Amino acid sequence: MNNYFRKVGFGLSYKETIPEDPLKWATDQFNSLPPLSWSEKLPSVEDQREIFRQYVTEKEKIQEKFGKDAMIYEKELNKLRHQKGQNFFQAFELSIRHHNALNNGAPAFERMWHFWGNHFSLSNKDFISDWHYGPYMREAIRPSMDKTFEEMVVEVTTSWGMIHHLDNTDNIGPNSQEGRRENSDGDKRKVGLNENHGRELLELHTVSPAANYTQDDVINMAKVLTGWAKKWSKKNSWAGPLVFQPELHEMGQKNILGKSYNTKENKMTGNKQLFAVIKDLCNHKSCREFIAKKLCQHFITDEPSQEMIDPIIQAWVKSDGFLPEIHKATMKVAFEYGNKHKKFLMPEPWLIQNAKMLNFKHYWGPDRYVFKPGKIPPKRERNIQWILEDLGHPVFKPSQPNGFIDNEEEWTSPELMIRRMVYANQFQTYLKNIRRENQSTYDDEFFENIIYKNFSNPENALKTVFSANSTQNRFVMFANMPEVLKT
Amino acid sequence: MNCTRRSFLQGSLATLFVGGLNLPLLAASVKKNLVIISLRGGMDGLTAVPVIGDPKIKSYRSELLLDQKLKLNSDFGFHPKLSTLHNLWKIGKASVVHATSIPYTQRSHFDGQNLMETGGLVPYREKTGWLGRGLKLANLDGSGLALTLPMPLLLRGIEQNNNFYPAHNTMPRIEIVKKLRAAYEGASEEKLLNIIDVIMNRPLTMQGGDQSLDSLSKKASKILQDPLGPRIAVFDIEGFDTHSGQGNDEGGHADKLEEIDMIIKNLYEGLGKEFDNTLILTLTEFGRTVEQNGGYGTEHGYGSAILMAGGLLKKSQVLTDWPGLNKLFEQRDLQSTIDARGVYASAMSAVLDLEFEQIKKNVFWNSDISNFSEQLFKT
Repeated sequence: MNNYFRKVGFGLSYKETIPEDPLKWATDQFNSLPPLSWSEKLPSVEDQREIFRQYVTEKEKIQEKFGKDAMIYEKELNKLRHQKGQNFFQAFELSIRHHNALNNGAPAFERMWHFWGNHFSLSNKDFISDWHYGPYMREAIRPSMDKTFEEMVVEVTTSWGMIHHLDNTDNIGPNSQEGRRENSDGDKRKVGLNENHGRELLELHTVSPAANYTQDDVINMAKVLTGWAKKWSKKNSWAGPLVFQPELHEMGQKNILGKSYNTKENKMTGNKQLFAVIKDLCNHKSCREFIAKKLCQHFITDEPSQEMIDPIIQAWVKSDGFLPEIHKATMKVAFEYGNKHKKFLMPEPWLIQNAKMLNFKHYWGPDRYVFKPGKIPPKRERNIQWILEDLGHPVFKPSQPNGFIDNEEEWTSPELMIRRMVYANQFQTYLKNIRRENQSTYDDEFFENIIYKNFSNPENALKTVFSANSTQNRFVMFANMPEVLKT
Repeated sequence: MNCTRRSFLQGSLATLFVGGLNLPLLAASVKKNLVIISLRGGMDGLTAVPVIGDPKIKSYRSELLLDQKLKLNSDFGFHPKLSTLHNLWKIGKASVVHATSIPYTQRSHFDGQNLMETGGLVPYREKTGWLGRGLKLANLDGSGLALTLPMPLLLRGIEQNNNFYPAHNTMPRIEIVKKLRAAYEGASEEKLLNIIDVIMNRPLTMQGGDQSLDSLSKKASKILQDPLGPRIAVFDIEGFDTHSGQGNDEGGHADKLEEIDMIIKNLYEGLGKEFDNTLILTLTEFGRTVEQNGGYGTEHGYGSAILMAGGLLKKSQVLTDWPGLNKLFEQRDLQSTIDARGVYASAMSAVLDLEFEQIKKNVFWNSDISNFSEQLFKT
């Protein structure tokens, strides 16, 4: 039973009392959007697009001026990077994320937020990880968690980051006004469809390959997405704002998964067409099954049974895809099946759980970050970024649009397991980031306290931890024992 | 030179059938090594292996032309940073396949790298790598070693691969690792037990060092010498995506080619006579545009080159069905006339002692790929 606080959250700290009704404790967190624990002066998507715009346009000038000499070019580019905070914002955003996970009192909600951020991954392209991922998490993902899945998909699909990293700006209707002009003006540049976003919207974000869509469906999906693009201008270059541009939109009827759009009966055209298609995708049986299964895989086990998946699907159908209900159903299934099934944790939730239960602070407080253009950020500021990178889980930097793969096989190679031991060996050094009055005394009683609170089988866990003597070694044993690696 | 496709074909055919030494079959007990270097970002084949005889190149990329070229034959040279490779060429241990690519033309890094590793045709459809499937076919559990942090997709599909990419900080003391092992054993955690055994039994060669390619390749040459150790090593070099500052003899691309050459140099020097039982092969997701862009760089393209070194090569040669620079793919890229997967399959056939047809069927789903084993490798 006590495993549950780690199963859906980050475990309980030595100061916390065990909630009387664990299930209610979890589901209550989804009644409304919990505020962020750190909310002062956070950059918005538009703030960061503006700074990225400056980076892009100034970089073009440097290319033109110094591109011939690689050495000078690199030097100038480096200067520009620091001027625009390319090495600043990612660590700052990670720091906010972890501060929030540990301090805002709604750990189950935060776990769910991280889940959606990975489901709707922005793969690392053109520094998205540095400037954009944090604001995207706050503006596109978080507010949608109080709405329907369909609304979340609309929000994400039409977000600047998604459109940018899936190349939808290059997705131009060949028969659109702009397409016809560009393809007949005699110069070399030709434009046409780019299927990237269309394919991922079907495969990764909604119905999954289980829906058996065809290549024609993908092409039609790409056509529906035409027009959703960054607005090019001389001032903005390719870092312009996201605007629906009808002159890029492919006209005519589109057929996706057996439904037709823009016909006599179904007159959805232009930007509204995408909303109509997303509505149908989100109401597709395969979409519910895909997402419900993925939720079970994240919180319960790599191989969930149909029994676990079904209640989430039922909550989805009953509430018309209202996410708080889907989230609560997930909490309930995790509560019912959690004790019998184990889930191997990805490195980030593992790290945050250890920080919570062992009471260390592996990041520089968000309050201490001040962006000064041109300044090279000190190492301690970026530490959290290195830790996640070394553990193999730089959450804002997935290499592919499918995000980080959430199964045991992905995370159990020798070197990745070595990293967990190596960093657990460092945990004790992170105690210095905590004010003296808030530090714990790491006596036997401390370990008994957190182990009885957080483990259904405390005796074994205690035996393992107490087989080592020093605090440093007890941290290593704690963090790497099977009971902590798996929830 | 008259760079028509036909003359190249004849040239390569002529050289292919001359002087084919009939070496006795190597005893099956000899351990052969395959080293893969993944060149991420799209390597420019025309910078690594410049075409000497075609003046048309000058009209496309005046700022990217090389001053120095290490001559291979009347048609091609090596970039000056590939000096080790050039030395190996002189002793019959370096080869190139030119104007080649995986059959993928959409120019996305992610999709392209995914296909370069899975060997498939649809991005993200396959969950295992062609090398992992090949090792599985050869029953070589645990013989893959990645010199990267995540296990590369390329090696997935077979159990117990190892990886080595030393972290910055130190491991807990050995007594503590042993205590953890005891905890895994007590909890009957078979998988964790398995991994911690691999970790604890790591030879001394797999300890220390840092994450630089220099250190990793020196380590790899020691590890590959172990007759019972891994026989596959996989490296990653990132940063070939030179949209600007690509340079010529020096510059963005030159720096990356120097890294390839350093890995080959360290392996050649470190492997000693085992180099003769080794094949080194590069992968990349696509080549780059023939024409330079406004930023003195190039865009994502199609055809590129495969660089190879090692004693398992039949001889030094440039294998190509040269498409010429007159007819570019989609008016911008070097055409690919050889499906690179045929070279990968042939290389596996040579190193893993498997029939090409067997690999073609079981690893590449009977795709239409050509067998280059006879031409390229000692079999």
